[in-house]
Amino acid sequence: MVDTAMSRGYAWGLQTDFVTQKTIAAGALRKIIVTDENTIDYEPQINNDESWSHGKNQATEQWLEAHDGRVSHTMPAFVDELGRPLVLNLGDYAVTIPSGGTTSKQHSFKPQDPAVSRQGKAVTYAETTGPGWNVLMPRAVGDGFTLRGDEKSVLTMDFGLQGAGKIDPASTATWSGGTPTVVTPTNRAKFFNTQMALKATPSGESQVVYACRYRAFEVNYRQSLLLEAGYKPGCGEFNTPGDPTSGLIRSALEFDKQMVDFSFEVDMASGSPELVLVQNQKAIDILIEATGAIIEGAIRQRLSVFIPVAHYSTSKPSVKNGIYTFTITGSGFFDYATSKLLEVQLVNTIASYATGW
Amino acid sequence: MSKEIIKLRVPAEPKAEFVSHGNLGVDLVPGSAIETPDRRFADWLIEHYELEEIGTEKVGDPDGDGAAEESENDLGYPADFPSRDALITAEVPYETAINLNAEQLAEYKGIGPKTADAIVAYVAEGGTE
Repeated sequence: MVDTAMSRGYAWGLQTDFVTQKTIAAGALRKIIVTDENTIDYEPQINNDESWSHGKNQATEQWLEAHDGRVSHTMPAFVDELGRPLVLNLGDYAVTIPSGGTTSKQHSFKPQDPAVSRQGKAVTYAETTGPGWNVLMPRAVGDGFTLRGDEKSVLTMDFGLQGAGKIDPASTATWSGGTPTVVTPTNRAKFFNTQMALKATPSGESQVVYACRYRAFEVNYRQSLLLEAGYKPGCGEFNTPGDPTSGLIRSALEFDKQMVDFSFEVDMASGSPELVLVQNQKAIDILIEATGAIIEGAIRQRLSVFIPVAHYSTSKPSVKNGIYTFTITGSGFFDYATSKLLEVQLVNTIASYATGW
Repeated sequence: MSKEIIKLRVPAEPKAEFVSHGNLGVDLVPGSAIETPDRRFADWLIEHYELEEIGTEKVGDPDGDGAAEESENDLGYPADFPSRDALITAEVPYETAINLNAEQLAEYKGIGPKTADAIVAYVAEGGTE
């Protein structure tokens, strides 16, 4: 048995709800092509009797209470695959046909409204390093992502999956062969940092199109999760169904807070306008957009990030590649006018990210 | 216990062809009627996608004393069966729901692929035993 880095594999399949594991059948799971070599961080929640009045100065036993598991990955910004981590994290989702389009689709992702539901979509996550490690982690939800671009490289997205605690080492997922349960994405088209445009419109001022001044960006969306509340003793959901000694797993995993922050690197400009925006704390409408290949007519593959109300918190000169650039950091805020904190739009030919995977 | 099904009309020119919020999703076919048992999701559709509420329907016994009557009307579906209320409302026989494959189910009385997948998964995990 030789498990090597090449034999590692990751996959996921969308569940219909939080508790119902994706049925493992031919083509049920979709491979996640990532740049990292991460594996699931599994943590049993254990306790002991160290402080009890048993008359000994040391703990005398340890027991299992519950299970927990999480994994994080970095995915290249595949035009067809980006929508999957996005719909897990930004659950207010709509599909439209771009004007003049027939086969192209515009997917719009916004943070979920907690007044409607705090439970996001969940996936059954699968992972292998070879015969020695082939496991399933059902009931996994998103806890944030970081989209970034730098220099001439491919855009990437870091994302995390928080599980309910159950890790099934008896996975029947098959990763190769005639009818594997894991299918591999065939369209490897990607977005690059060289396709990016950064536009910022300070309140009451004209739009600033950074064009050649743009260097790099990072957008970081986080949704904290109600991790402890998800363990519901009354539900009787255990690692081994029907075995109350096998440790509790989560019956729900809802989000709590939703936050977005960002950083940009731009070339210096006369008068340090970005420093002025930090000093006067103006609200800034930000658009970060990557434009790719033509799909049909004038419609191109596109990835757009809208932050309608942003405030810069720092703007500092830093040296990179032998020149000074401004590194700007800031945060997004809920916009009452558009009822959103953030919106990501993705244009491609995928029919939907809410079903079918 | 009774449940309320909210009936909504999709506008002639909907803002999107599909929308979802978390695990709740719906195809917005122009002019069609859709149903949801979730009041908050219905209100969200009305506010953001201009659907029109055209009525509500109680499923089960509204007086609360009709457990026997409810069991007569439940077509044999277990309480935890996926999309149970919608299947009962659509008068999908229980035996049909548990015996069709996902593709057949998706086509049957407009059950759709999402519900079909949930039913097949439920049956595969022994939920009918």
